Amino acid sequence: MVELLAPAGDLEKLKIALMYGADAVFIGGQNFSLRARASNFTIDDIKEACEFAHERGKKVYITTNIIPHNEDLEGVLEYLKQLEEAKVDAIISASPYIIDQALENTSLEVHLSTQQSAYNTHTVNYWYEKGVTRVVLARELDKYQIKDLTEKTKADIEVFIHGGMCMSFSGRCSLSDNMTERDANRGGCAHSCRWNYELVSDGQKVSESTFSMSSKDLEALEHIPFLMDAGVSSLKIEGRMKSLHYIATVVSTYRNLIDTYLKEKEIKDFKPHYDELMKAENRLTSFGYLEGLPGVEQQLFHQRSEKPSQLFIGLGVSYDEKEKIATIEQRNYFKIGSKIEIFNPSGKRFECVVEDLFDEDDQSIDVARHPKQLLKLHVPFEIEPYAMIRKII
Amino acid sequence: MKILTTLYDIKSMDELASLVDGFIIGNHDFGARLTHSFSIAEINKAIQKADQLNKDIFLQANQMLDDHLIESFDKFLDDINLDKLSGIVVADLGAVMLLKSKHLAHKAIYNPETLLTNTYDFNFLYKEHILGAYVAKEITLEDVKNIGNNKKIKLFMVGHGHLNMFYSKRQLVNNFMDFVEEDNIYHEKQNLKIIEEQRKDEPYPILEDKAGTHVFRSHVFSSLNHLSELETVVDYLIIDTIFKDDQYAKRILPMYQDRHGDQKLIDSLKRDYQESWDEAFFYKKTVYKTKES
Repeated sequence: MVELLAPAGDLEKLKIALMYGADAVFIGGQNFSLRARASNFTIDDIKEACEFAHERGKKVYITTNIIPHNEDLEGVLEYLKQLEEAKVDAIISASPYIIDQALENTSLEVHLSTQQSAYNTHTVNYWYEKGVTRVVLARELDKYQIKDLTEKTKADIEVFIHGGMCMSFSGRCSLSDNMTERDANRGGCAHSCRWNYELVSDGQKVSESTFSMSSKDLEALEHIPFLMDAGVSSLKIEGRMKSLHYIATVVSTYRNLIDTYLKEKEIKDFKPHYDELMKAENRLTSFGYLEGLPGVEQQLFHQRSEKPSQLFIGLGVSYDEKEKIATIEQRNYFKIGSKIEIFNPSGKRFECVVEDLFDEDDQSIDVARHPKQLLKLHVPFEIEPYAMIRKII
Repeated sequence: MKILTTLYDIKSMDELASLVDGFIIGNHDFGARLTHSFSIAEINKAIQKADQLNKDIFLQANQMLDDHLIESFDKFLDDINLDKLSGIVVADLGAVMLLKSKHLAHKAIYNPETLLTNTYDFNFLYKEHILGAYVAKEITLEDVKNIGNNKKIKLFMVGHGHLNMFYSKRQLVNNFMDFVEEDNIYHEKQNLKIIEEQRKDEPYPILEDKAGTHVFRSHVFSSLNHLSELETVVDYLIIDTIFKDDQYAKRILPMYQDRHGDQKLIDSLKRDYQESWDEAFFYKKTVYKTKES
């Protein structure tokens, strides 16, 4: 059965991702991982993450995907041993040194990171024969190439389905290194490809318009049935720095789509899935390379990110069934009279209007304006822990 | 240390032969960022010429190759005079495996641009019996020396030229011209630059070829001041003349051949080609992570 793999920037997001339907999560430790600005996990966090996931029959993968310089090699094996002891399900790596250390000295399962840009069958099989069980394919393959390649290898194939797109072949870009001295392959990517440029020919402006190398994010809803039929082992959502609400919404949308396709063997209408996704997606999206070489329609020229149609206003904490009072943690401004949607991890959802509102001291208030403040309100349905509460505009 | 140069015109080989140990040529169906694209017939002619001149000659086939291109590359190689070819520079690990399957591993040179940043990773294809590999451009001189002192295969590095820093499969210039609704007359043209709004004095050359789109450093990288240190660790130092021609090679190569920079000549080259030089990452360590912790 295909795996839905989600990102998690911290323990709370990890729990959210798993509760909302991910089969596995990938997280970064404090060493040897890209995405330096994500809240990377300590070994104790990783242990807790694994316990939480394993209790639910789910998996945790650790990214150890930097391209190390000589001075970074110290401590690799010790760290891998700690991961092994923490019972992580796999590491995701790009450096032959880290891969070989793991394969030769630990029982860790190793997945090949997309930073190696595995782009053809020869490459995938090379790594598989070395002992790497899963290969994350380069984003530059179309869906037919993915299908063909999946048929030609014994390696498990992992494919990106949602999130940010590197404009360069992953791992082969040093724009950030050169323009900011921040090493893209060691967690410091400054996203220089998304900046604004002027295109000149022999010193003359080619156009008054701003040149950009920025891509729309990937969104592969309509390609999921094809990828499942193609035998892809894992469908990967990108974005370890995304919000709780984004993770919950994107994961649950793809979960529902996958489950519906498994059950009904077809997706009659993608629009409800798309509409749900767009409640959290705040960037323009497209299908990347899945239908071939991306053209102008896949790029961002001047366009600003779109705002979500509903705002994430709170997180469910607990529910008093007898009194019908929910406790929530505030995340965005709302007030009495706001129309809200409650979206529970179990999948149950409902809408209502905020009729009353109380602070921690049970004092009645009209407006929720303090982030993370605990609030109480009467609602006629159960709000589960970690429920997403959205304001409907 | 041998000096190699990329080639713009086969006719220049005679004249350049006295200045270099070998040449690098390629075809745009499989090579990326080429100084010039040569047909199969021209490549074979150049191989023959190099043999007559007793010089090395390498084929640059450094595109990322999907299965279809791997298959085409396989057939392409069958038309090349491989016996007299010194080596084949590839960027894709799959291409290394193809060469191995064709019993050509001993001619394979792996150049994944950014990936070979430490000694272990540099040597990781040693067991596949490849000829050599390029060290990453983003490491310090000390790192180059460290890797070179512990190499198990031949060490190649670009010693002079515009180093590339971005390789996308997308045709980004074409997409932009579509966006502004004008014809793309810039494909495979070497006269384009992009200027970032906060870095007006750093125009970056950009090239769209069959492989995709490439962006290069604004300064020309030169290792002239460090040749004595590189001499013992580098096996092949490459003079990459992309955006230039063989005239540029003829002026720059004597200095590399003599292992000594001539300031007057350097100044005239900078003036004539309107370029500035630097030493890239030789003394500039990239930052590992940015999070304050």
